[in-house]
Formats: sequence, C-alpha cells, structure tokens
Amino acid sequence: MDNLRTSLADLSLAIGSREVSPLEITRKTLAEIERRNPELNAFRLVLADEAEESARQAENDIAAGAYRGPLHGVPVAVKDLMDMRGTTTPAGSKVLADRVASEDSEVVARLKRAGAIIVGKTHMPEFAYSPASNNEHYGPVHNPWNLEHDTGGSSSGSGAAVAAGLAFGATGSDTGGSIRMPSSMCGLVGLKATYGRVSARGAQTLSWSLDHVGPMTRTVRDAALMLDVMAGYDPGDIRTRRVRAGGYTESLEAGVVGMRVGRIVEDGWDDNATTPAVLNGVDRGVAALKEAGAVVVDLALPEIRDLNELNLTVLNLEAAAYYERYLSDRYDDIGQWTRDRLLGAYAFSPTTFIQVMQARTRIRRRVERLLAQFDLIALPGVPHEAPPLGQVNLNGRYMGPFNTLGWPAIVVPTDLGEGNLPVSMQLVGKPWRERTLLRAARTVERDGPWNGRTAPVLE
Amino acid sequence: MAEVRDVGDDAIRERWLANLRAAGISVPEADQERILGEWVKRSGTLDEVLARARAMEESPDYLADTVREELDRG
Repeated sequence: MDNLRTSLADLSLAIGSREVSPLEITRKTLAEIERRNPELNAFRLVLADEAEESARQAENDIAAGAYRGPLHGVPVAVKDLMDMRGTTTPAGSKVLADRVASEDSEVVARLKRAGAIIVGKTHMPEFAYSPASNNEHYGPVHNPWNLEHDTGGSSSGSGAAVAAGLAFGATGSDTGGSIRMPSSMCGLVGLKATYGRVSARGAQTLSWSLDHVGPMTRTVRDAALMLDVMAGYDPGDIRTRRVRAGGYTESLEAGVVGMRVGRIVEDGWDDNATTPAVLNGVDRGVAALKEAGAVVVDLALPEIRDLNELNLTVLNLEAAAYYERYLSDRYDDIGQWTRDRLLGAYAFSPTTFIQVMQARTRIRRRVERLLAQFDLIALPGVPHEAPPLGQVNLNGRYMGPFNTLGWPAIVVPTDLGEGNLPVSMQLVGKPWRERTLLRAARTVERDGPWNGRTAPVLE
Repeated sequence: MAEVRDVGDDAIRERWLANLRAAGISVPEADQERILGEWVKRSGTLDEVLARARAMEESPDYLADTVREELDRG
C-alpha cells in the first residue's frame, strides 16, 4: 500500500495484518508533509523524531503480538490548541506561544494509549475564534483542492492535512462549527459529538459552554474509529458524562430503514445565501436516505436562526471573559481581527449573558418538543464553496445552532461545486445518539454522489 | 433589555468604554469606531431573539435549570 490518501480504516487493516509497516507509512507521511507543508501551511509543528520513535515502538509491539486496536501505528495530526506534553500550545496566538504543556490533553493521551502516531500539530486562527484560517501571526492555511482558496476555520490545518494526505485523521475543536466548516470546505467528514461526549481537558478554551472536541477524517468509518478512542467520561472534565461510549463502527452498515429524518426547508433566513451546488448536494443526500428506507419529512425550523444568534453572543461573551487578562496586559500582541471581536463583547449590557442563557434554555426546550418525533434532521453544512483566501465569511449559520443545543452533528461531503471545490450536507442527531447519526452519514457517503473523491495530488 | 444599536449613540459608547475601563482595558481612540461598528453589525438581531424567547410559554430559570442538571448528574 503506497497511497497516503487511503482511508484510516483500510490502513489500519493493513497494519493489523502486518502488510504495512507503521514505520514506513510514518516516514512516507513525514516526507509528504515536508514536501507539501510549505505551500499548504497546514502544520505549525512537525514532530518527525517523536513520530518515528513512536512508529518504531508500534512496529515492535505489533510484531510481538501486542496490537492495541485500529489506531495502532496510524499517523494522525492534532490541532494546535490541544496540549501535548513537552510541546508548546500557542492556539494560533502570540500570547500563548511560549507556554510548554506539562501534560497531555485527555484526547492526546487517549490517542497515544491507542497507539496512534502523532506527526504534528496543525495551524488554526488565533484562539480558534474565526470561521476562516486567517491568522495575523502564522499566516493562512491553503485549501488542498485549490491553493488560492481558504480551508475555513478554525480547525484549518487539520482540514488541509487530512485532505492532502498528510495524516489519516486529525483532531479538531468546534465552538460554532470549527470542525465542520473546514471539513465541509476540504471534502472531509467532520464530527462534533454530543457536548460532553469527548473530554476537552487540556484543550485551550474558547467558550466553556460551547466547546466540543472531535475527529476530522476522509470517511465516516474513520470518524467512528477515531471517536471510539476519543470519547468517554473524564473525571478531570466536569462537562463529560458517565454514559456508555464506544462501539461506533458496530452498526455503521445497518442502514436507515424506518429512521425519521426532518429535512429543513425553512431555517429563519430569507436571503437565499446557500449556493445551488450545496442545495443539490443536500437533495441528493436526502434522496439517498429515502431510497435506503428512511422516512423523510419537510420541516420548518426557524429557531435555527435564533440558536445561531445565541451561539455568536454566548461565544463572544465567554471568549472575552476567558481572554480578558490578555486584552488588558498584551493588547498589541493579539491580532487585530481577533482582538476587535473580543473587545466588542464589552458593549453588551451587564444582564445580556443571563438573558441569553435563559433564551437558550427556552428555545432548546421548544426545539426538543418540536423534534420529538424525529431521529435526525438534514440540512446544509457550510452554505457555499470555500471562499478565496483572505475573505472571511461568517459560514456558521447552520453549525452554531447545534453547539448552542449541544446535539451531535456531522458533515458529509456530497459533491464538487463551483471551482471544483467540495460541498457538504449536515446531519444532526439527538443527544448521545452518535451511532444513529453515523449510520445515516454512512448511507449518504455510500449511496450519495460523493463517491470517495480525494483532493487532487499536486506534483 | 433595550439594547441601543447605533454606533453613534453616546449611551452605548459610554457603557462600552466604562466596561472596558472596569476590566482594565484601554482601547486607543483610533480603534474605537471600527470595533463598535463591527459589534453593532454582528449583534443586530439579538433583541428580536430575546423577545421571541421571552414570549414562549414556559419560563424556566436557567440557573435553577443548571442546578437541577448538576443534581441529576449526581
């Protein structure tokens, strides 16, 4: 096997059967990073020596019969806001650039225990506070499908790395769409599980009540395999819950017969901002679900717009509270774009946060009631193709609402739109029902129009 | 809440600057118009959202709700 763009699942099988050497695939991945990173700017830190050492260890362990499971020996990347012992965690900023992590974040620790090979840490906008890859300190990330276009944010480098074959999967974080936006724009599967499903301990905070950590991969099965490792209760993160986790690949091929899907036909906006390719992709994805036996019903949910507004406000206020010390002490060291947004939060009245949180509870209860009879809802991911580099669109209108609710959501690529850039559809499930969500996503992936495309290989 | 949504409005500017001062943050005068203008654009529809939420039948107190969730969690 010499294809760096094969799925994580296929590589895993080849490693497990000792057909592929972890050391060789790691060296090949590192060589590809060296070749492509100068033009993509996907990695902030490449851990070549550490990765080779881990891969050598994995190879020896597997040869000795100590196979740890599907991620053992698989090269993966980590978003640069997750602590990794002995390395810095700048989170795209200058003010945190020198901080060396004294221990691993929970997700990194879980990946290491599973035997994954961490090849490096990926670029992101400052503090993860942008829907694009714009970063005044480290530069933007280029989209592997077209280098003149953006990857989206904030898990920008993770998106570029996985799409370009510089890793078989990556971690991302998502506060208002930051896993799902770059996944949409880079032709990947991006999964934000239920709030509290994956520990965020050791991941730099943007907004306590909205932050989620999750996988970004080339296939739905790969996302399930990574979630198997990443999910679970963590006594060090009070946001996680003692609920059953794991087994996400078990029913992936079980289909969707009888599943009740609400297709969103009214979302509270009337500006027709969704491009034809995105709408067509959702149509075809929904058709695949229907063809496979799902019951699809058109659904008006104008609360989506309100939930998005609440997402933007809560995020703004919580982020400003978290980064206040740097606004006062290191004003000039924070990029203007990020700083302006954080400073804006001080214009809200003192009671806004409480009122917004009350509205969040009321609207959540209303939406829970409205959707009681559905298993899933279907709607666009990012409403358009990746914009040109330097253009920051507020892409999160269909993403942020599900951070506000805390419900699990996944984007699946559907087609290529204008400029041969990927577009996606999004499926949203009920809390803790990731297996149902993954089954439906797998159906769209298998029977929909995407057909396993990967970003073009540039020589 | 009656938010003021005009960047030229003195009340909102004063509140903003007072909040910043209380947090020990000093914003150069040259930056103020731009930052406040962006905030006004971004937060334009929040009042409507809050009004719609207030009009909903149930009136849970989010703090009580949070306490209940903590108790449920054990």
